[in-house]
Amino acid sequence: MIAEDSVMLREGLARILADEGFEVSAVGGPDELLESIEKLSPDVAIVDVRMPPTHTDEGIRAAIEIRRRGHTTPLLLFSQYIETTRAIELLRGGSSGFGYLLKDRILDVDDFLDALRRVANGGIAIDPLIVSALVGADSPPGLLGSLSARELDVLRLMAEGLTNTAISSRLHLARRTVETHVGAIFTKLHLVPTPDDHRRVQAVLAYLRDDS
Amino acid sequence: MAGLWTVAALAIGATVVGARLASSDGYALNFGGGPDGWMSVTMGLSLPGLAAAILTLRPRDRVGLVLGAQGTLRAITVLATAWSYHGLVAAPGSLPWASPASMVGGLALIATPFLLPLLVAWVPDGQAARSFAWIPRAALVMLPVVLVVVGVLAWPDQGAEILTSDVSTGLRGTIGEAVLSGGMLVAYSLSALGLVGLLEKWRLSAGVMRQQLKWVLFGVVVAVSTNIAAAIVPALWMFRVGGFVAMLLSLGVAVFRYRLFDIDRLIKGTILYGGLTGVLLGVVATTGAVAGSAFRLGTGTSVVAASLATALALIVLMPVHRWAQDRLDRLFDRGGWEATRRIRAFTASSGRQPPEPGALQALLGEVLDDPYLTLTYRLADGAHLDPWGRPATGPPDGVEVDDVALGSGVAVVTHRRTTAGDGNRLRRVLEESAVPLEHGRMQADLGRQLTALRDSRARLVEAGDTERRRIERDLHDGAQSQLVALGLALRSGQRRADPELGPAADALIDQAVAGIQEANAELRRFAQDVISPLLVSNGIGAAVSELAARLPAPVAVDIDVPTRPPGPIESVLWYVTCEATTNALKHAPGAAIRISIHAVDDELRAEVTDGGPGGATCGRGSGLRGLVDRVEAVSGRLEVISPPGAGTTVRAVIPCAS
Repeated sequence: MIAEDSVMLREGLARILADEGFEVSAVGGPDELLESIEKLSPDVAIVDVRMPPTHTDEGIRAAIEIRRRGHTTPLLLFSQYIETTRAIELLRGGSSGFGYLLKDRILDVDDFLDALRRVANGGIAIDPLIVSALVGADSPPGLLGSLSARELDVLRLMAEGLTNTAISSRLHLARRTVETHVGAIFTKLHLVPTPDDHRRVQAVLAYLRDDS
Repeated sequence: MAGLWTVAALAIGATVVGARLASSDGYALNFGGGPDGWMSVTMGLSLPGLAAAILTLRPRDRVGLVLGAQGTLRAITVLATAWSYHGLVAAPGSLPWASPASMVGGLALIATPFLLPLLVAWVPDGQAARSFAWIPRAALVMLPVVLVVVGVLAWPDQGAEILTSDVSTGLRGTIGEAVLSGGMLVAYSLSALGLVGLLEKWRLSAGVMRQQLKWVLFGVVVAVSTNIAAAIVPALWMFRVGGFVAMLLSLGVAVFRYRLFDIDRLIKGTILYGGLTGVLLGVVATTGAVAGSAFRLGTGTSVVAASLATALALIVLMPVHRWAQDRLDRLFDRGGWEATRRIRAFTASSGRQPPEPGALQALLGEVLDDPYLTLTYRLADGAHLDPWGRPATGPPDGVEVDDVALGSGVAVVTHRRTTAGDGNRLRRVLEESAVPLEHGRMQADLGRQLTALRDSRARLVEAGDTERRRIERDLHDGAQSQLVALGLALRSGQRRADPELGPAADALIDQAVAGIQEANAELRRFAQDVISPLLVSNGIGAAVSELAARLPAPVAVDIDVPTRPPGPIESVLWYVTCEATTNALKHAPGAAIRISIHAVDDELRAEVTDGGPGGATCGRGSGLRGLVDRVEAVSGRLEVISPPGAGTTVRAVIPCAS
């Protein structure tokens, strides 16, 4: 399911996904999105944040409404700019798959498809830019200041939704090393580690949000 | 009404008959040689008509009744006295009841002084001043006592004795003489006291009553002064009659046409020019005499002496005139004098420091004692403005409107009707205010232009803001979306293409897509600079929180804006916050920043404080200058508090009716 008001973008995305074997249904606005979700119960919905009529945050509102109506459809929001506040709310509220990417991330098709599949399976995918905006650019305040540079890298990737294995391959580290870093992060941030990717990202983000 | 006029006509007729009879007998109707006869005739002719007129207009009016009684008594005096004189002295036995007629005439004359305190106490509205209310009662008690004592106990057997001598000396026995003299003394004393009451009444009066009393007092002053003149120079006895007529006239004016003339000017003019004439005569006489003897010339015939006297008189009189005018103003029209003085002071001070708009309206309201007075201006182009330059509404009902023509346009003064009662004061005050009124008109015009400019600036800023929002949206919906779509097309082409195409083509496409991403990132930064998309979508709170999260410094954010303000105001708050935090980061790197935005009453206050070195200024060319313009365009104000060494606070306060 794709909700996107720009026809070119919608068609382009639909073509790529169709080529990848997805069964695609596309709509152009938030109302049709809600309607289609109810009717089709898709495996995952890709939702543009800015859609008619006001082109501000219809996508986010639609997502909140979808969750409010009790639909657990995994949602992948994409947006032209970085916005954290409402995304965090959605992240906190939802227990099923959720992703939030910048629009041009779609162009890294393989990464995008990875993220889409992760979300469809109930996982998390947060854009690295959004994560770093949350974590802070240069000198992160508070407890984050106690993390080492490597630990911060790991934390960002965790926030993007990567598993320890994916992080170890991304950073070219041994899996054990990554697990040590993760343990250290949880300890330094006073978090109790759980094996659940989704939960740990949520915890991290929630913590960051409250602290900054 | 008809009865009234019949009585009046009868009284006047009686006076005419009596006067003719007396004059044919060569009798002066004087009970001993004074001018009373002529006074009686004058009163007998004039008062009945005046009284009838007053009573027609206001039935049972006390002043009218007293005047009517006076006129009737005088008419009776004239007829009865002439009758008895003819029957007793001129042609004895020729007329019946000649002896009782002398008594009727004498007693009528004796009664007249007792009406004077009544008149003085009751004029002009029939009410005595509070602490003088006993005067008319005292006079009315005294009158019958005197009449009974004189008429019953002391009247001479022969009326002729009375007619040819003074009344009191003609009476029989000393008791009658004493009672008559004492009664007269009491009557005149009561009248004098009544005058004091009249002054008291005048002091406490306002509006119409005040105007009326001025006329009355004017008449009294004229009557008294002519009487004094006649007493000093017996040849001027006609002055008494003239003074009396003047008093009657002023009494009539007081009752009927109190707005007919400018009584203040009349009073002052009379005194001023009367006094000055005396001074002038003295100066001329003295100068003429001195110059005449000095040049050994005959007095009054010398051209040199006359010229000298005139020149000297003029030199002396000009300052005396000014001084006297001022003193008289102050004496007789304290309020008007005070008003004139204050308006002159206002005019003088506006030359040094322009007054606040509305100050003149307040001043006029104050000096005219009318808190509801309003001042508006009709300009040459038809606009009707209040002193601040705002469009004025029409005058409400129940007010009077006076227009004052200005150099260009008209000043419109609306005031209570009662203010018009002091009409001459109003006119004088407005005449005196010509310069400040003209000034006020220009101020109103400027105020209007300033408002127009402010509005147009606000519209410009708003248009700019709208344009920024439009550009940002166009970027998002147009260029950015198309770039991504283009990239997607490339990617799907790449993925569908024949693998035989080879790694070179793959690399080219990757490069192209990377370029598209770069361009998109560039566009995103550009859009962010145009306007924060977050501000547009989520409002000032979200935008500022987001900003704070991205700043490389510890930032405390405290935002309490319950409802989203209008777009232009939100934008201004945003620019203030951005510019101030950018400045803080530049001038106070690493220092803690505090951003607070609060809605307080009808104002929005945005404050950015840093713990930096301070000393920031709002001068030309600084980013703060641009902020001042933006904030003022939405009628707000920007303050920069930056003492050296104690950090900087930038505060914007913007009115925002919620």
